[in-house]
Amino acid sequence: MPNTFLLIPLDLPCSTLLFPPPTSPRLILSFSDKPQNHTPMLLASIASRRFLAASSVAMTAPARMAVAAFSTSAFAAAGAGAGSGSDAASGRVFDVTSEADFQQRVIDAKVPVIVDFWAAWCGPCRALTPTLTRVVGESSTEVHLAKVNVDEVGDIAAKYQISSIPAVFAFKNGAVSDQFVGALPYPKVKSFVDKLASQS
Amino acid sequence: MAETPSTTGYDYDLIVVGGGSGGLALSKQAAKLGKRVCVLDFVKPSPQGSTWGLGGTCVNVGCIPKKLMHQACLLGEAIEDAEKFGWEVEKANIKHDWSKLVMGVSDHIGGLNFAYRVSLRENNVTYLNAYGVFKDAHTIECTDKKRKVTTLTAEHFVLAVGGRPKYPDIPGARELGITSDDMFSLPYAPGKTLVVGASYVALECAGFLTGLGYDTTVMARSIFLRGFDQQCAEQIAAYMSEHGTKFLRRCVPLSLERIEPEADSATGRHRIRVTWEDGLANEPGSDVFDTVLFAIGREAVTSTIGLEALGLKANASGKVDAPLEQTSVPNVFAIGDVINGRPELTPVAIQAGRLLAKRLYGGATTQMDYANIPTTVFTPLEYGCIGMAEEDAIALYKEENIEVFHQYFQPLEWTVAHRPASTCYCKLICNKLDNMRVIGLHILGPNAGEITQGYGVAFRLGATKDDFDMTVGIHPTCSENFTTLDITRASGLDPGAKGC
Repeated sequence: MPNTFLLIPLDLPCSTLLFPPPTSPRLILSFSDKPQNHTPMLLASIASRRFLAASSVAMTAPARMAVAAFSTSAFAAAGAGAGSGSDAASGRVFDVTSEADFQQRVIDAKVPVIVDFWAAWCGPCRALTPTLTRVVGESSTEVHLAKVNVDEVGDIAAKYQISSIPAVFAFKNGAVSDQFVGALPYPKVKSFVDKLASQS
Repeated sequence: MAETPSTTGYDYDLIVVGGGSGGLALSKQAAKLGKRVCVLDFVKPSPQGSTWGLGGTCVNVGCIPKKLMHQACLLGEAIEDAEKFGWEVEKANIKHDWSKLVMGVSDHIGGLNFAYRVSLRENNVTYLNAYGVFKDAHTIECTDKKRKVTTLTAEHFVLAVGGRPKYPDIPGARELGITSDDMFSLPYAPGKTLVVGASYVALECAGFLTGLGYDTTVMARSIFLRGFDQQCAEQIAAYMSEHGTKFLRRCVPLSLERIEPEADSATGRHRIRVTWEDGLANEPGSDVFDTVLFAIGREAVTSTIGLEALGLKANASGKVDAPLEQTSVPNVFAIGDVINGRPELTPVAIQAGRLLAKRLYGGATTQMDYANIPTTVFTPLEYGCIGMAEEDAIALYKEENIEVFHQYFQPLEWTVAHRPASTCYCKLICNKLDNMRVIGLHILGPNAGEITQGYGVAFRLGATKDDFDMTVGIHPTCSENFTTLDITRASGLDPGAKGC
């Protein structure tokens, strides 16, 4: 089993790699049945970066299909892997769409908020975001996770002087109370979030 | 964002039009010298819809992705060698995943785009993702992707707009063809590919596509690598041909035609029938390809930036005259691929940009030296050169006044690998009228770029053949061959590879 696990391409969204236990039959089967089934995901990732950025751009048919598949399944799959935390996480995790949105849902939020500065091209971000999603979902105190794509809402990243990602900020009452950079493992992410939650 | 106030009454001291390698280097240098600087960068999508982030051609659709794909090709060759060196390789299991390569390359580029934005911010340069059109010599109208229009003024402007690939004026070219703008982010494996053109872009792309296992054909109207040493250019083509690239010479495409209306759902590709005029046959040629890549040259992007408002005229390739990087408008400058008659190379634009900023704002007087610029073509057999091609040296100095030293060699790494003995080649062209000064250096072989860079310094110092001879080689390397060259072309002696 461990060998089988190692054969999984590293380009998979890290969510899939990290969350199901290594012995998960679902994961192993999906690869022995369809060795190429990661391709749409790759295409979606490429397409989302190179094509979606310009909204008026005509997209090739496979890229379009891949993006559609990606947006409906990729992060949902991450949630499914997160186990019991996923349902709770669904209402707590959101994408920041503008500076006004950031103001309303992060700065003015009544609950503590973790802000995840990320990008599609960033491998460590792809590893960290599902961990944050899981930890926020598992938290007994309500904590929100605001995902800020530095390519799409770059002004917010600039305001917080983000020069390296993933960069994670803990917000409480509109102010930054803590931060870290890099893809930390689950226990460290958990203690980071717990610390913020316990200040409530 | 910039804290420094403009000292001139304009919105900015300097607006740089184009955020490529040159524009970014210049803008940061100017900001370091205390100026209030803005960079405009906006990529109009290619006909196939490809677009990209800050950083220009080199980072997004040029040097960076092409060298990474070249590396993918070299790794494939290394797998072949590995077996000879004792690695047990299961050949049946060796295959290449195009999507994975594109993903890795795109990730790296995404990181670079972000790093450029951060670096502008940290240098207090304002970055606007907007398309600039001149209204007069001090005013530019900027339109962002939401079509919001802002008018900005500046004391100085620098044109650093770079270029984009040309398309031939034939049916189907823009609808069905791709260019290097699309190649490196192609969301499907290219399949059977026709590369139209004889430029270094054409040969590099054809080289790595062949290396990755795609059936690849190069269609060339005339000579390869115009402006480069033709002996070396032919040797590159011969090597590629031996390694599986097909060549159609003296051929010009006439039309592209889609065979099926919809792309194949499994591969994402269209089948395209290409018809061409064959200069060596009476009948037109025709074949079906999955991908048709045009690499027939580039043009500077000046037709829609309001040059007429400046009173500037561009030539047929969109380029403007800017000796010493100064256009005919006193406050408007130019760097990089937009300048007429200058090499289209990233480091040239960067150097010219930094020096221009220092002259404008730092009291410096140093001009860009466009002579003896080292460069390398990253075909599977890499080709590095500095200075003159042999035919250019003959044209300038006459054959009797130059001496050509040359030697084929086999890199040590190629011996155990059973790769050919007389493929790699080095050549020095010396001027007999000037103390045997070396005026041309050429090398075909692995790591030619790494080899050539260092000799660029020797050229700046005016090295002679004697300086090369007195230099001690590093053994065993490819580069050491330059220190032991003793066979002249005039002698007629065989320059074939010799033993240790």
